[in-house]
Amino acid sequence: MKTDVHKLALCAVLTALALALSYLENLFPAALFIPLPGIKLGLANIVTVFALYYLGALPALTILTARCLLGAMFAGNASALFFSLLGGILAMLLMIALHRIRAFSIYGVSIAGAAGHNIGQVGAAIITLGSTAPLAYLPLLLVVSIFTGALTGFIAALLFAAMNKTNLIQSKE
Amino acid sequence: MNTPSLPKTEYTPRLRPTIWDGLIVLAVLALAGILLFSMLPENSRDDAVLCTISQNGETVDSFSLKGIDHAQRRTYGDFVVLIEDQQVCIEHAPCANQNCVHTGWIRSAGQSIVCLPERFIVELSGSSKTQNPDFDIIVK
Amino acid sequence: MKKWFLFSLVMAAFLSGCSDTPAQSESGSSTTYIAMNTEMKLTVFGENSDAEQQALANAVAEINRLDALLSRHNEDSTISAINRSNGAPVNADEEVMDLLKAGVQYSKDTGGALDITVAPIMDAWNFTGEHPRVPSQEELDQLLAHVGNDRIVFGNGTVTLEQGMAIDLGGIAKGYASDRLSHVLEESDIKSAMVSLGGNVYVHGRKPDGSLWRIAVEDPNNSGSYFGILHVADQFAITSGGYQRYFEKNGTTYYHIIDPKTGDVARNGLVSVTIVCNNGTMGDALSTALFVMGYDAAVDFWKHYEIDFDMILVDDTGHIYLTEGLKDCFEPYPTEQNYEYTFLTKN
Repeated sequence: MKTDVHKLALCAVLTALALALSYLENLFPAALFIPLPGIKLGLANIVTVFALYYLGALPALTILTARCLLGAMFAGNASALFFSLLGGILAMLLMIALHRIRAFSIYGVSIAGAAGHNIGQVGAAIITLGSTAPLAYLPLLLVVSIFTGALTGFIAALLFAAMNKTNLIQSKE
Repeated sequence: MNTPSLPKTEYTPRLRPTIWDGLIVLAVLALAGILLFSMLPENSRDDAVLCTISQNGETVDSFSLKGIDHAQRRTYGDFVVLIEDQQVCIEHAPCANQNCVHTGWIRSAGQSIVCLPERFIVELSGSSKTQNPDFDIIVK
Repeated sequence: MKKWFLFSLVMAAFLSGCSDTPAQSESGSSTTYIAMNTEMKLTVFGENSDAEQQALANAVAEINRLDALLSRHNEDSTISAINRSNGAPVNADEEVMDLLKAGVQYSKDTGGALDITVAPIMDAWNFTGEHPRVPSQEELDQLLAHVGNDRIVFGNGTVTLEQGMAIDLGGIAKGYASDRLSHVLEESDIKSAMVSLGGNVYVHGRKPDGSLWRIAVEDPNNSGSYFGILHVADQFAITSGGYQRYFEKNGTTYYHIIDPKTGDVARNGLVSVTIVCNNGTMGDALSTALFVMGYDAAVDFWKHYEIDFDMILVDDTGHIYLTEGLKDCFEPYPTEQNYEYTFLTKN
């Protein structure tokens, strides 16, 4: 019981954190460099990947969905919801698939997540515009996602390392 | 020290990049490469501009500008069409207003010269590669 | 395992959507044909080839309908009926009445630089016919007595034209047709299209990839080439220039733009006038009128007209004047003429 309540509270905190990160990355006008509507850095993925490892697939998915919905509500922008959901869910699915494979570190999983995020956003753009033109941006985005994914992974790794050090959490092993 | 009892990690991540991560990076790069390659305009075998001559709505001649190296004149009734340097113009026409002759040279797919009174049209067409890349339409 | 299945399902859905049939055809569908005594070129981009073909058919039908309705060379048209009415009232439907009234209004607004009843004068010159000629000033003066569109009488569903007068809508018909096409394309669910009605350009929406249309502006001193490119969306661009239709006699060039007040060729120092605006009829009317007015009057008109529009004036000394609204969308193109570009401001 105790663990469930803690888990719930943690989810809530993480959702808030993801929302804050989402809002923060809006201050960086990525759209200036890559002119696609709804294009973002994906900082909130840090929370997604952290939650995935720490809490598991389902809680992570829930946090993601909640963050997207709330984010869209606060921004008052329904179409942004479509973009962030598609990007987020695709990233989520990829990471779920890969995270338990011992061969991959948190870096690899994050990179896959970042790539999936971008694929999802381009997919959303294609559906919204009704044209395959946005595909032209995907190659560049994919290359960029290697870097943003590594960054996300790095920060998440720092997080886990710090938590291990301070014995805040214990690894299951 | 009473540390709060947070749940245990569901699955402990490896915190150092591995050689297999490189595989993911390669996969992403490969995907980017494939997309880039598949989106390049097809190398059309026939990237030459096609010239079509029509009179009264019917095509009377059609030829590619590609093979024409030196200045060439083609006669259609009273019309003389001059082809030179990958450009086309009507050199001589039987109409009174000579607007078609005044139009001058055309060279890109999509351009045309029209002689209204005689219903004679010289039109250039081709794959999108041969369209003038600088503009879509001309106001005149 | 379940996760893998779900993942691959989603990926499959995405990938098939990306690589299969494009949501919009890449090069669109086009048709080129002759109507309203000129070349009509229409290019539309739609959901698929069928939608495009249907839209083109609708557009062509509309152009043909207007041609039949408005051309004075078509004996069944309303305009023809009015022209041979010999002073008797003729029934005209609302559309024709509105267009005639618009023409008269533009004529008033431009101080008579445009007049839809110049037909007798145009016939005397015979620019588009087999034998263009230079009428004498006496002949022109006589014919001028029959020019004056303020004398058209609009009744309740009728139009009355004095004997001897004749209406020619050549100066606004294509502009009006392009306005109508804008509606037809909307109704045909087309979001992206470009049309040239005898050189009058209308671009509908943006290009299929979302970028602005690029309209090249013809160089009056080098037909077939251009001096700049307009980057616009949902706009009409119409050019009037002496270089379009002319004939030469005894060393003098006579071109087809007539000053309705003198009946003679309008020689006011301008070589071409291009209007860029959001109304085709207005653009068509003003391009001719402002050419007749000459530089000073045209600039003055632009500054004070109640409707906003942009224009490009090319004069006979190698100067190109553009209104300030075009600053952000006009891209000059180098030409042999080495034009000098100046932007005009409203104050």
